[in-house]
Amino acid sequence: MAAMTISEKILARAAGCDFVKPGEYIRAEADTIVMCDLAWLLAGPPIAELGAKVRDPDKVIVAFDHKVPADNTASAEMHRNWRQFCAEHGIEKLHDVGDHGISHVLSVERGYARPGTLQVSIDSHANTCGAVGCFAIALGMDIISDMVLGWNWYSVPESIRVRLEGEPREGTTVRDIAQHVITEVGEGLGNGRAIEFVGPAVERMSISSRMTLCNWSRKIQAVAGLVNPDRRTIEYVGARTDEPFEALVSDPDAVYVADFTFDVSTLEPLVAAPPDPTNTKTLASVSGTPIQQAFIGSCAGGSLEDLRAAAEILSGRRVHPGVRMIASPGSQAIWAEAQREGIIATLAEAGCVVTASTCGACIGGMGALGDGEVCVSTSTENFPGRMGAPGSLVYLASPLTVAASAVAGELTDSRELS
Amino acid sequence: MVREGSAWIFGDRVSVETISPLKYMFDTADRALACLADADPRFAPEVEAGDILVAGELFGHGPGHDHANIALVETGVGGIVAASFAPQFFRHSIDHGLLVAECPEILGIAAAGDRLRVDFAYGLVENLTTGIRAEARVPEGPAREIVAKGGLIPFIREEMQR
Repeated sequence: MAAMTISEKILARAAGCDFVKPGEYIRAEADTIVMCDLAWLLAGPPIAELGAKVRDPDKVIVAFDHKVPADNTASAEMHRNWRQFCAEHGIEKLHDVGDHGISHVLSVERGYARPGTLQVSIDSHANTCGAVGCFAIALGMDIISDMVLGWNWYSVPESIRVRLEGEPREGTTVRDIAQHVITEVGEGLGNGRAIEFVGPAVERMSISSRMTLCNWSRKIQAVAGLVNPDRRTIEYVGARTDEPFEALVSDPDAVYVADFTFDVSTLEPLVAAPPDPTNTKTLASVSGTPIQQAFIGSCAGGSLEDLRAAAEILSGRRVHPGVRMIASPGSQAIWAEAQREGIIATLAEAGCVVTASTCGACIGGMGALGDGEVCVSTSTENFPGRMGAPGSLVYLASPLTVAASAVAGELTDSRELS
Repeated sequence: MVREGSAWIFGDRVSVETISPLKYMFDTADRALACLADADPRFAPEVEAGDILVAGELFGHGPGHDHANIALVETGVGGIVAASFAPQFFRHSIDHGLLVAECPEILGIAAAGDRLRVDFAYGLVENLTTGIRAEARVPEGPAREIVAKGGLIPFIREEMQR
């Protein structure tokens, strides 16, 4: 048997064959199908129009995330439609308001993303769930093929291997590492491929940090980002699900289209400047840029670790009077844990608004920006208009940088905060 | 699945947001006329059925919002030949019956207004103005069947009856 990568093994398993190779078009059955509230129009009306039933409702997870709690009548009706749809089709894994979370975060947190499985998702940042050794891919309307027919098509991607070594420096987080990786790999190579993260620095990372790392692979159009499951993964997932799973890992002699090695101990804090997440700059080169808003949240920056990092900076300090700071925990469970740890109080006492767990300001919802305003954010996108007015500017950065900048009123390195 | 018409040339890295800004996910009335307006305001009002959109690398990159693909269908464009596509955009095109072909050298062999004939089933691009031909990658396997049925919904409808 020829050697395979983790991605090829998972796709082969899901396709019911022994072997697949990059470039091959296959039919495969997803193990889990993740929907978010905003996707109602892509799935609900077409399935009704087809007169179809959801083939295996146990595979379907519906997470309310973008519009929680409902912010207007349209959102309320979208949620109501989902509730009716789930009742009608026998979908029990509806994560309604109060039991909700950003779909990618919730998928890992509840054990829906499992090692060795194929997960299809309606939302762009599905790559996040590769952190637990799951091949998680973002689809579009064709996710209804998974819902109705029980299968979908895939073109098996080539894989890129990224090895991370060394200990991160003070003042940097996994966000800086991820930003460096996408800059060096580049979208010319990343486009349409799977990125596998290996090496001692990855092995030392928490599942949460691995999620951020995998999430960011989407920024260079990778179809998946994955970490081979290890003991930490198996313990983490095993504690969250009774479903069996097989921890598939890459063969040592598997073939990669490119190999990279980075020493994370050499990295400085980085930002993605407008208008694109790939527009990488050192924080030092833009430090001092005045800001009006700071946001901690999203599927790439709303974890307990991110909130903790922000709270460490804000403890005993105040948000600058010219800055609105907003934090949106990635899920209701993260919100509750942040409350237990005292993080919510630390943030609130510093002058940060802590919202319900939601995608929130990342998509220009609650916490939108006005024309000409500048925001520093742990969120996922910074194209013009993403967080509000087309003339607003968004710098993407680590939670340390976002919190330090909120205190200083300008882009600031957390190590330089007095 | 052969389309013949004028070439409309776009460069590298045309994003989903450039093709159709986020607000058109919900505001569908003006969507077709606003398609690609920032990149070429003449495109949407003047494109004719069968015309070929030609683009460089990474056409459709950015968030995977498929209203951009719907907007392109609504313009009546015959199909897209790009040097490369963002993967989610490529999938969405197949789903929405938007014909796509990947041809790395396309920007070197087509100029604005050239008459192109593209076979989207077999992956052949012909520039009728210059006589140059090139091969292109088109969807294969199950994806090809969806293209042949004109998109995902007609494909699923037929599969359901099996």
